[in-house]
Amino acid sequence: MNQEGPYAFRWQRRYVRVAKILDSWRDVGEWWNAEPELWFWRVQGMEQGVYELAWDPQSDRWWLYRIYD
Amino acid sequence: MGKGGAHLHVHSAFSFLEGSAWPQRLVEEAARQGIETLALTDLHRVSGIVPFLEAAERHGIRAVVGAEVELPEGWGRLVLLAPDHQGYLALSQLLQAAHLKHPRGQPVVEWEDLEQWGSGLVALTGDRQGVMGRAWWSQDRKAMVDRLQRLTAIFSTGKLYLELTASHLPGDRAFHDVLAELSERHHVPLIATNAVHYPTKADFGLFDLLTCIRLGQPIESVHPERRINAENYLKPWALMVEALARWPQALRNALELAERLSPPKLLRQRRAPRFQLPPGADAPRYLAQLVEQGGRWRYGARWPKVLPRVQKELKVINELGFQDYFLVVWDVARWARRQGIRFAGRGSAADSVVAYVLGITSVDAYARNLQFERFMSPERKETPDIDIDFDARRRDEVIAYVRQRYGSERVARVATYQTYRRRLAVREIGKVLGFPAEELDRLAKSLPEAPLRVIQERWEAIPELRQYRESPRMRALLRWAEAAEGLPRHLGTHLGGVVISEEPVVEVGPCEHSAKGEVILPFDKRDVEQLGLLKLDLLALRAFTAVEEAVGEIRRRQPNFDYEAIPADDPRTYRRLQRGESIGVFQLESPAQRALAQRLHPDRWEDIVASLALIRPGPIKGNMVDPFIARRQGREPVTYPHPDLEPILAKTYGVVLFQEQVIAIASTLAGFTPGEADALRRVMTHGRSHEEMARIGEQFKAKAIARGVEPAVAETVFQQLAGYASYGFNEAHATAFAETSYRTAYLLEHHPTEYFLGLLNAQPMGYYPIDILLVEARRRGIQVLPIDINASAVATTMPNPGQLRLGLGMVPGLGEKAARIVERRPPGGYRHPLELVEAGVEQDLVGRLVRIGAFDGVTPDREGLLAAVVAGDRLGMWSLTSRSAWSWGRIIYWDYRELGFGQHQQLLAPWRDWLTRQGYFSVEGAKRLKPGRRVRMVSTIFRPHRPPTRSGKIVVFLTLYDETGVLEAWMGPERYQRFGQWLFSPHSPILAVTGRVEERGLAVEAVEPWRRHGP
Repeated sequence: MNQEGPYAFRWQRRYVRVAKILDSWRDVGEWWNAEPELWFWRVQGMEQGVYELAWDPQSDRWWLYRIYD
Repeated sequence: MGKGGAHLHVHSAFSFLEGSAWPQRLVEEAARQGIETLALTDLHRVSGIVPFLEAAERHGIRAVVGAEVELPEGWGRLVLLAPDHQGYLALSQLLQAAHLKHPRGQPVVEWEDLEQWGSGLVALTGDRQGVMGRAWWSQDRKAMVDRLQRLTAIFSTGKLYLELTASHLPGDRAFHDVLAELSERHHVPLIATNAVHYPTKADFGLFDLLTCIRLGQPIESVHPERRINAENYLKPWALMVEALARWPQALRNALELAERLSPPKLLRQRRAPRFQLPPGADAPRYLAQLVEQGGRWRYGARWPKVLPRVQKELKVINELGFQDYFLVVWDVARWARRQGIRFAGRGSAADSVVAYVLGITSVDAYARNLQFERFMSPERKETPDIDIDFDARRRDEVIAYVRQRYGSERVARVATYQTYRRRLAVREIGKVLGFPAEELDRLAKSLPEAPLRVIQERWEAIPELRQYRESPRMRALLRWAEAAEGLPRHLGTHLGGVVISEEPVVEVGPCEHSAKGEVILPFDKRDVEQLGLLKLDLLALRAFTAVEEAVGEIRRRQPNFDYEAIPADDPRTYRRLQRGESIGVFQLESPAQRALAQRLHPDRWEDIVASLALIRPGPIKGNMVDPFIARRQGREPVTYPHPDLEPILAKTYGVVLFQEQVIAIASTLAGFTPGEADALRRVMTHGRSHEEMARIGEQFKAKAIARGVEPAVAETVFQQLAGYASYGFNEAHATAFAETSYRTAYLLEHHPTEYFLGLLNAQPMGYYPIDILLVEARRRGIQVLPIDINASAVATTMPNPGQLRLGLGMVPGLGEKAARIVERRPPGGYRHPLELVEAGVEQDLVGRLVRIGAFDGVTPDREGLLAAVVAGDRLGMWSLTSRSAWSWGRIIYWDYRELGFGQHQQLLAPWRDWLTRQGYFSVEGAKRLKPGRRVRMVSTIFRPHRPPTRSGKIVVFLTLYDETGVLEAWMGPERYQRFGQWLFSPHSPILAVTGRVEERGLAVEAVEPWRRHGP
């Protein structure tokens, strides 16, 4: 990850390089149920795929949250 | 980039449900982060500016005043900043127009006002709720351009900014790109903000809950106005830089703009009006002249003796420049007197002989040797507080006079900040968190009188809360409610505060409408003082209404009756007080006062003054009551630690009871200047830190010793002061109230029917509800006649001596229609309830009148009448018969349900024979028993409460009453643990009580809900 966000990610043995960050946001979810805050990026990969990545800064865990097809 | 940072779009809790922190808390957080400039831009309001400017001064932060406003035609919001004092005046004008031109609570800034006042302001386009955000989210690019062009026509170059917020919301990137493009094309600079609504990330939860309250939806529901993240906090500037790294010019512009802004000059100003003097007069001389005239009126031949004291007071008044203030208040008092409006000055103003001779107060401060310094001193330099009570019915006439005298643009009512109290916080937050309404109601009613923090700490010791233990949801609710407790929720109108300004009030702040349609300045009492306005407290006192009503009725039969000439030493009045039979007497009717009177046996004026000062939390907690009574009754010797204190403390038998005594002791024994002595009094009264107390103690002792006082004596006296002063009461205030207390006691003793008439017509007032007043009236042999559609007036009347006819005005909801019913009454009286419907009274109100028996004089068949009303059948009444009249139980049930009191008899009266057969005592029966006897009673309970006690243990005090009278009762800590839930939960007000009769009431041993298995 660089200052703007993730520049590449690996998913199911595929390595995707981020060509462009389309959007980014943060979401506290159901905070009243102690859900953690997640940071999101909607990115476009070099291969033109669009993905939503989520990161939990507290646990440093990453998810591929959504794939746009 | 510059260090520090500038947050120019910030909401406090004064945005009401759109901000979750006091302004000072935001300033503290900004200071902690090293933010150099902070704006306060509450929604349509500047109510938070006084604490904001004060805190900013303390922390060395540049404060900017602004507001966020809604533009017309659904454009969205605009953030407006006042670049300087002139800008603030423009902002105030603009906000005032937005409020006064629109319905209350829906202010909108009209274009014409923005065009008129906007050029003096700086505008930011807001966040997603802003003018650009709304257009963008409607996907209307053209509207964005149109709006920008319209705004650039109003705000010149450098005064309009396109706002980029570091909110980390979905879509921000694209929105910011569009704003940047518009910026370049239209030469409107970008600016970085964070649209702050709470100080830290951790405060988001409370903000989100408040948002849900505002939107009226549960926490689980999604709403476009709810924020999905916790980013709108006072973000450290480094994080702002990181979040808006793509737009460095926006960050730079924020810092550059901040450098151009300065706070308005609002604090430490004097805006009191000049009194309009006769030609050629100056204020000091005119005041002296009035004082001279008044002095001769009040003192006659004794005036020369009083003169030195008055001259001393006038010197202070003139030195501090308050001549005009006294003249303004004198003028109001004079006008009220000429109109025949009953009034009396209260509070520390009664420490002033000048106020007395000007006719503002009626306490002879000279004769009582009251300390003027408690009211005013050169060292204090604060505007003195003159509070005047007026007959509640006529107080608004006085305010209208002030408006007419000084001009309505220079006069406004003072606001109060209605804050989240624990019950409201629990109810509103609980609703959002999904608690059932009944559970919240039960919980809210069970909460004792203590801050939620304390309640949570002592959870297990509060029996009515124990049932909720182990519930994490409940804990969460109380934790969030505690966070909300004390925050402003909405604006209210101060009971009597009126400000008068030299300049139009709008130059101080924007006025708005109150719920009653009055013009209020949206600052509270403290803040208007800090803003240098002259504040008058013109209070509405219902006790004066009761007096006026009673005196008017007495004079109908006894034209020479003179309330002012009531003898001050009437033995029967004192005997009534000694028996504790003073329900209805001003300030002396509470259970604590009546219990005190039974022990103190007041038989002179000073006893009443002392009583008013003794029954306060302080003296009770400080264990002052017993020693005072013992000395008063000669059971304990009256001693003085130093002979010089005898003249000061003789009237309170050597006990320091009044604040004025603290001042006098410090002056006499330690040679404190009057101002220093008052400062000592204030340190003590406000319970300052131990260090401050120790420091002032050393000063006191050193000065006293230097004047030849023995060190041990100086130490003893200081310890006494320290022990008692924090509980001390203002003697002037007690004396001012004592007059009305004694006189109303006299009316109750000698003219009970007229006085109960006065009390009933002045409701709501006093400690006890109408139901208890009626029990007392009947006990005094007064015949209470029920509301009758053809015999009742709007108010309660006295058709014959010893007889009261309840008035239509007592029917809830009837309001002004009561007068219409009386005005339109046909010569032979109403014959059918539908005649009222035809006169414009709603059907449900007519039904209420039938159910309370207002038509019993026409026919007692209430059921038949109700059916006729529902059916709209005028002829239906001809089939009615008296055979279908209601039972007593049913009549009383509907009285209580519709009116809250029994018109014919008290709730328990019909059960008396059955209760007696079951072995239950009445109140009267229990009172006749010897102390020590155990009794079982079935009683109505009233006002169970848990006042602070010396030991800190919880003792519950409550009033038991039935048709035979009133009995005060208490329940000790252990019993409270077992039975408290029955007293404080919303069960029936009727309980079966077991207890032991004691000298002054009943020590309750057990209670349970009364299960009626009777007739």
